Amino acid sequence: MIKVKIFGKLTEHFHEGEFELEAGSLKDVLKGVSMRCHVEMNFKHQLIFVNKIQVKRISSVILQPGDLVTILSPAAGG
Amino acid sequence: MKAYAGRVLKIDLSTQTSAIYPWSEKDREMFLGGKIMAAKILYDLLEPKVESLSKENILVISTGPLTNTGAPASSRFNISTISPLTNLLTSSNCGGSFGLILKKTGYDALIISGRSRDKLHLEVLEDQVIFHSADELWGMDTEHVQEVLPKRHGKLVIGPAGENLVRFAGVFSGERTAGRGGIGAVFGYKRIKAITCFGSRKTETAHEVKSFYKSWIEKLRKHPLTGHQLPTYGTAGLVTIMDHRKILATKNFKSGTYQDFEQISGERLKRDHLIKNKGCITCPIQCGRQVAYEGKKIKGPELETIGLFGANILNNDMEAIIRWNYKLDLLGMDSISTAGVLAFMMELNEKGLLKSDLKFGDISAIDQTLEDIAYRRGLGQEMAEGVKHLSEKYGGKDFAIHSKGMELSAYEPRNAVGQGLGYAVSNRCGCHINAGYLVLFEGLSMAMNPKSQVNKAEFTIFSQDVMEACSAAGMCIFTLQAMLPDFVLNKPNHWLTRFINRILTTKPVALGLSWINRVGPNLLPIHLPMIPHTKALSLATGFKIRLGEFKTIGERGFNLERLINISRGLEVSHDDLPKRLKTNGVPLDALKQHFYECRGWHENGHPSDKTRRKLGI
Repeated sequence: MIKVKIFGKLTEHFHEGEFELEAGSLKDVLKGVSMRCHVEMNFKHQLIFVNKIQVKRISSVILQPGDLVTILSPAAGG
Repeated sequence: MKAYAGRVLKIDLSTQTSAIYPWSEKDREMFLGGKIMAAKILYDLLEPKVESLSKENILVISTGPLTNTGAPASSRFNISTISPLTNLLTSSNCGGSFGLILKKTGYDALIISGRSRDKLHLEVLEDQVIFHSADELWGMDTEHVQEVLPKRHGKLVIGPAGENLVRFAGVFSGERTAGRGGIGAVFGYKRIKAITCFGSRKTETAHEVKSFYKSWIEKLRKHPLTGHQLPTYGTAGLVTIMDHRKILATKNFKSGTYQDFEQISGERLKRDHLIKNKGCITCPIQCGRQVAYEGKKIKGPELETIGLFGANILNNDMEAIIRWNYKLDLLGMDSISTAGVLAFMMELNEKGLLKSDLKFGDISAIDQTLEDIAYRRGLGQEMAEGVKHLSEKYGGKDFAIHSKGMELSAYEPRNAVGQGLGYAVSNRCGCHINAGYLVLFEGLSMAMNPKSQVNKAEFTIFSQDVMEACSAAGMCIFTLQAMLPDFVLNKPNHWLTRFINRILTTKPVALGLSWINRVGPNLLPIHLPMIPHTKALSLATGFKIRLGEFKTIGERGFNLERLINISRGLEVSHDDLPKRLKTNGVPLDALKQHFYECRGWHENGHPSDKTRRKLGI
C-alpha cells in the first residue's frame, strides 16, 4: 500500500487529507487520487514528493509498498 | 508635490518642542519614502557612535508615497532607528492603520529625538503636537493601552517588554507589529508609551490612479499566491512545503525537517482554529488570521511564530503557539527573537552549559519564561539581552543562531544557500526579508537549485533592491510575490517550468542579471506588468519611475543603510553566520565576496566611490 497525503489547494476536493492506495507507480497513484475525488485532476499544478523528495518526472517513478506520496501546492510569503 | 503629505515633523522629546524638517522635492525623488527616506535622515542626523539606548538615538517613523492613495496593501509604515539588539541600523515595516492616519495628519514622517523626563503619550494632530503624561498608561499591556487611547486615532504603543528595555521588544499598532530589532526598547528608553495621530487630509495624486489600482487588485486576487494560498492558509501555509524542502528550522536549526510538521501546518490552523481572515486595511490579500482563544477573537500566529515556537523547540501543540503568540503581543515582544532565545537556552541546557527549566519538546516552562523575559526576572534578565549576549556569557557560539546579534527567522538556510548569504549580509542583520528572501526561488514556489552558488549573489541583490523600493513606496512586499509568473506556479511539473528552474543557476543568466544590477536607471526605461509598482508610483507622484529608477532607488537605500552600519563599526567579519549553518551548509565566504563584487563594494565590504557616485550618496 502507498500512503498519500494531500495539502494546500487540492484538499478542497477531499474529505480527508490522508489515505492509502494500492499502486505500483506514481502514475497509478495519481490516477487513484483523481478517481477518489471524482474530478479530473491536473497534477501539473501540484508539487509531488515521494518520501519527501520532489519528483521531477512523474511517468518514470516506480513505487514500493510503504512509500509516502505527498501532493502540495506552491506557496510563498513569510 | 503629489502623493506626499508634504511635511516632515521633527519632535524633540527633551525640550517637548516640534518643528518642520526640511525635505525637498529632490529628496522625495531620490529616497522615495519609508525605510529609504528614514535611512537618509538617519545618515544625515545621527552621530556615528551613538548608543541605541541614549537620548542621542533617533526614531524615524515614515510612510510612503502610495500610502493613503488607495493602492493595494499600502497602509504600511516604517520605523528605523539604531537597534538595541545589534547596535546597528534596524528598520521595521508594519501594517495596521497608523501609517494611513499619520499621512492624513499631513505628515509623511516623524523624526523623534531626545528623551522625555516623564512617561509620555505623544498625540500628533494636523497642526499640533500634544505631550500627554503616560503615568496612568505605563505598565499596561498593548491591548489594554490601545483600548483606553482615543478610538479613531492611529495608535502605536509598547508593552511591558518595551518599558523594561527588552532588547527585542516591538512596537504595536492594533494587532500589527513593528517587531524586529528592539524598537520597543528605544521607545521605552525615550519614555514613549504611545504615539497617536489623527487627521483628515487627503492625498492627491498626479494622475488618475483608480482604474490602474483596480486592475492591480484584480491581478493580485487572481494570482495563485496572493489570491489563493495567502488568503486561504496565511503565511502558515508554508510550513508543509518548508518541511518537504528541508528548510523548516528544527531543534535550534539542527535540521530542516520536523516529524510533527502537520500538527503545526497552515492546513491544521485553518481546519481547527480559523474564524476568518483579518488582514491590514487597504489589503486585498488578507493573509492575517483571526482565531479563537478563551472566548476571545484574537490574531492568529504567522509562519515565523509557528515555525520557531513549533519545530524549532520541538513543540507540536498549535494551541500553545496561539496562546504564546497572543501573550507575546500583549507583553510587546518580537516572536522571532524570543523563540530564538528559548531554543538557544534549551540547547545550552541540553549541553549542560546553563541549567534551566527549558527543554526541547517540553513546553511546561514557557508561559512563565515569556513573562520573566518581559519583566526581566531571574534568568529572564539575561534572556532579554538576546542570543548573542547569552552565547558570549555562557558559551555555545557555534550554535547561537543569529547574524550580527539578531536571531534568524524560521528558514533553515543550509538547503537554501542564497537565503543564507542574505541573512549574513542583511543590513537589518538576521532578517529574512532584508536578506532578499531568496528562499522564495530556492525552496518555496520555485525549485531553483538550492545548493548551487551560481547566480545567488546576483539574485539576492536584485531582490533586495526591488523589495527596498517596494517597502519605501509604502507597500507590503507580498505584492511583489505576484511577480512570479502564474504559469511557473501553476505548472511546476511542466517541462518549461523545469527548464526555467534549471537555467536560473546557469552562468549566462547570472551574467544577464549582473548586467541588470549594474546598469543605471536610464537603461531599463520600462514598466514590467509583473511589477506594477513602478507605474503606480509614476501615476501617483508624477515622477518618472520605471524599472531602472525603481531598482536604483532600492539600491540607494540598501547602500545608505550599509554606510550607516559601516560608520558604526561594521566589518566584513560581522557579515557572518553561526558555524552550525556553515558546516556542510552555506559556503559563505565565497558567496559573500562575490556579493560584494556584484554590489560594487570593495573586498572590505565598503561601497566603492564609483558606486556611491552612481547612487548620489
